[in-house]
Amino acid sequence: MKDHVMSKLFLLFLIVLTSFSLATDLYAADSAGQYYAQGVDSANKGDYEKAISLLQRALELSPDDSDAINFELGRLYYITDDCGMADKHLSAFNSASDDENLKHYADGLMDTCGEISSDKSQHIDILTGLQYDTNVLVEPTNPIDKAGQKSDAKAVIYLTAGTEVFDVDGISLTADYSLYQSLHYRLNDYNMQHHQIKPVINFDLSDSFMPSVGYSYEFTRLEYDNYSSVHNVFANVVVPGSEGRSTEFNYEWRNKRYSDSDLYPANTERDGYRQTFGARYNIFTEEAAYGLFVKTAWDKARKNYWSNHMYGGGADLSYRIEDNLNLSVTTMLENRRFDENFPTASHTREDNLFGLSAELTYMLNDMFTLTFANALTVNNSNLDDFTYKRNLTSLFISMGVL
Amino acid sequence: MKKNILIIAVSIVSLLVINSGYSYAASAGKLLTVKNDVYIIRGDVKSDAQAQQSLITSDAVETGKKSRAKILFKDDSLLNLSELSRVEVQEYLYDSGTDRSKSIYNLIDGSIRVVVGRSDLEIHTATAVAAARGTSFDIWSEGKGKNLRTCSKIFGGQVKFKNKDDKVKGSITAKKGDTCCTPLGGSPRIIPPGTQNPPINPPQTRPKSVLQPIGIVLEIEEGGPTE
Repeated sequence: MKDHVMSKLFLLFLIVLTSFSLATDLYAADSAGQYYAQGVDSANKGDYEKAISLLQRALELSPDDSDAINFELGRLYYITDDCGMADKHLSAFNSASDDENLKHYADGLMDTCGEISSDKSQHIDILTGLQYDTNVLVEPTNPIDKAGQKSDAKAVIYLTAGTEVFDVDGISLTADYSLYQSLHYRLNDYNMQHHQIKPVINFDLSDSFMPSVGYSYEFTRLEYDNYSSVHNVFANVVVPGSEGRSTEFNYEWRNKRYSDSDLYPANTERDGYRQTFGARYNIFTEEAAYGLFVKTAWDKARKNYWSNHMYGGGADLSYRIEDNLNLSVTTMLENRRFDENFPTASHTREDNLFGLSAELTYMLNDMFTLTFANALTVNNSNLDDFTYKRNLTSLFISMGVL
Repeated sequence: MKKNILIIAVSIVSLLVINSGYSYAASAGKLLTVKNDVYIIRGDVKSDAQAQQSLITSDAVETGKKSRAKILFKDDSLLNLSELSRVEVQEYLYDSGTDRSKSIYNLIDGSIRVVVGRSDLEIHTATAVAAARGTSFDIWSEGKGKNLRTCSKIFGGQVKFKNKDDKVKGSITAKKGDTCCTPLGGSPRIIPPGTQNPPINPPQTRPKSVLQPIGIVLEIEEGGPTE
């Protein structure tokens, strides 16, 4: 009898305990639901701080049934530009939810949270790769020892960065910097470091006439020795035509100062300036861009046998094979006549330089591009010592950092 | 006679709209947030915009210097306007049955960030038409005169671009990570990475050559030593 009473009391205790537990859960669920409803209501009224507070409370009370709460919180943090918290709640939603459409939408919110960078004018690009050069040693200041022309491999890094300093009433100033560094496998004396600083003023004042003027300073070192410094002033005019055609005219004045070194003991003989005039005609179609160009240049050096007159021209083509695959080909021909005989030559030097280059560019993803390139240069001179052939094969990967 | 034709035409259009399930929504969406100088242009009236203010078809929203606005539409599409931008709700049709919309926004100036909700959404600019569904992207105008072009960066999904001028052939579908530009009078093009900021002139750009470093070497070798 006593056992029977005890059993009943125990059963009653269990029923009371279960009911209490159930009631507590129901009360908590109701509270979470109420907080959620109030949070959404506050959000709809634009009171985002209050909405976030209410939804956070709902999340605390109902952490196991939180899909909708996380989604709403993610949206609210997106609206208030708190991207870290938006990511946290939208990621939690995506992990738990089966709704593919909403997950896709949440991805969109996470990808686009924060201010739009309206300043599209800044860039940092890094290009790095390997090159194989069949003719590293070309030393026209001394007669070339054909047997001495050496091939070598080298690693290259090329960094470019630029920004638009201002853009007011159609006049803008851009500033660019580039660094080129090569590291040879064997011929370390030819490791080159090249710096360029280039401010340009662009005038966007007319639909039919777009001029720009600029200046650049270039400084080059070979291994541990200074090689050259160049002050460069240039002007460019683009005249847009119809149906994707345009014509460009440019002028360039380069003041060149060289440094003597163990490798190039008579380098300063070539100090002087060069003026170049050029014109270019562009044709753009849906799949390709074509260009034809001509140029002429006068080079005046301290020693007249380095002074020369050049004229030349060429063509280039850029063809989009696929959306992410591009082929570019450039060919050029230049004739260069020197003003005086070289000290060791019986007649005046005249060079005909032919260049042909091709590059295949493949976009790997939104940051990286892979490029295979080959550039052939053949210089035929009436002085055998200056005749050379050079082939440069390159494999690069470039990255748009900004 | 002309009046009758007009009535018949309006009736046919109305029937088509009704039968499709889409109808002009009284309110297309609302401004979620406004920062600094944001204006609503309704008809000929330009007034200061307020958060939670409703937008209807043909309304335009304009932001001033260092100003921003976020707009939420009934289909959950979000438009974020950056500074010095102006966008117009050109068309907004909403189907309450399917809870989807067909919408056209006219980006008149500046840049917007778009998260597409339950909508077949189009952004029209001076040079391009961008058609999107379930995606997110930035779209902006740059350049002036014959240099004008529309560019877009895709964050997710796909966006189809074509020139606004139907006479210009060619369209392109840009995918996640792509930057696509549509010049005035030209076909849209994907811009290769590393050339995200190509110069605007000439009117269409050549891809930047990676042989430029080689050019440096060739440049200093003219008449002199090379590497």
